[in-house]
Amino acid sequence: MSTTARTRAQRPGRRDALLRLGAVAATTLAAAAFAAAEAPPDAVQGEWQKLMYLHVPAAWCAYASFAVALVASAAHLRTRSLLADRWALAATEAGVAWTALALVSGSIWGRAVWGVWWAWDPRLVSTALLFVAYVACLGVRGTGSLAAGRRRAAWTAAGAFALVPVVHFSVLWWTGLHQQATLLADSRQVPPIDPRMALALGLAVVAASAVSGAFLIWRVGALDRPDDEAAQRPGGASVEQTPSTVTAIP
Amino acid sequence: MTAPRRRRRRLLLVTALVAGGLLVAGAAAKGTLVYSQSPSQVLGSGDSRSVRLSGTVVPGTLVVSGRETRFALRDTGKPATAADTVDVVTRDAPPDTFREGQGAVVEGRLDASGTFVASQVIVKHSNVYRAKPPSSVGATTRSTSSP
Repeated sequence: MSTTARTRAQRPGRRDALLRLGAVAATTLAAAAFAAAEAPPDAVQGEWQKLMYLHVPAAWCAYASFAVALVASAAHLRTRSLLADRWALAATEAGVAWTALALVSGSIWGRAVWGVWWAWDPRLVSTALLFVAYVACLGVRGTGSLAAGRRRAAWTAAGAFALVPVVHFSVLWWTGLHQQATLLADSRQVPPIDPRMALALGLAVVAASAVSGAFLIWRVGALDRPDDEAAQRPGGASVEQTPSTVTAIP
Repeated sequence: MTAPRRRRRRLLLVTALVAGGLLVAGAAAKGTLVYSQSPSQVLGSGDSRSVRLSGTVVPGTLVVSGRETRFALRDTGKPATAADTVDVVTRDAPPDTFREGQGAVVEGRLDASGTFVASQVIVKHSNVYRAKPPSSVGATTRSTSSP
């Protein structure tokens, strides 16, 4: 791996942070995998319940990524900081990927336990909306000039965050098929989960968070190349050169 | 992009967002934004339209004969009474996770005799996660069982 003298001088701590977080991610991933394998199968769901160790961390990391995107977008709108915009973009990308993973793992889990791949349940529908909203956020970045695209992406990321509490509380606000939270359940009740399952789930959440954090640091660094800021958008420079073809479509 | 065009596009976007919001709010106010109803809600209404019911499978009522499955479904979280228990019949084989005393969602309609004819049975599981008893674990997946 070769880095230019300039980037190294600009971000001296980034590689260290990436290495450290990468080590944490690798360690916790191994621990989580071991704990998940050792955790007992569920009394009702059997081995399928282990999809929880993928599904719940994915949903948590999606929430966390969108929170980072919200803060970074607000910072970009206030200061026009390009660094804040890179964080917003990286976090939005991570959040979209985690949401997709939550939807896919949830669909498989649903087929195995509920008997259906999909249901018009409030949690499922609101999560699908969340996915669409943040895909739109990545899309609006390519409209107009680079600066306008960045601002539109920031406004979209800020607005779409309103869906996060809707997704999280959908299982309480409406009757649906999706079960209510276990770990974030009402504190007056004893968490109704086997301690070995809770340990595996906790480790999986930490591991996924570390992976997500390492991705963010790597991605922000990769976007931070001074020579090609146009690389922040798919198609990059060519789109910028021919704006007429973009605007002519509608 | 010219200025009037941009304004028109922005107006379109705002209109679409407001229309979408109003649609959702209207649906919520009319009570159509529900995934499912409870047995007592449908039994009381005499409604024969296709609905989704969610409740608890009453223990001791599950009977499987040939392709037909029969069971009683009652409001979750209440003791069973005649007013909130409905007999369900279905030709859709419930998933393996279907159990008496557990939650289920049925899709279908009430027939003239008051039996709910379900085209689909979905298992609704709780947020409780307990280990499978060691004896059954050892038989199927593992040779050793933890103490």
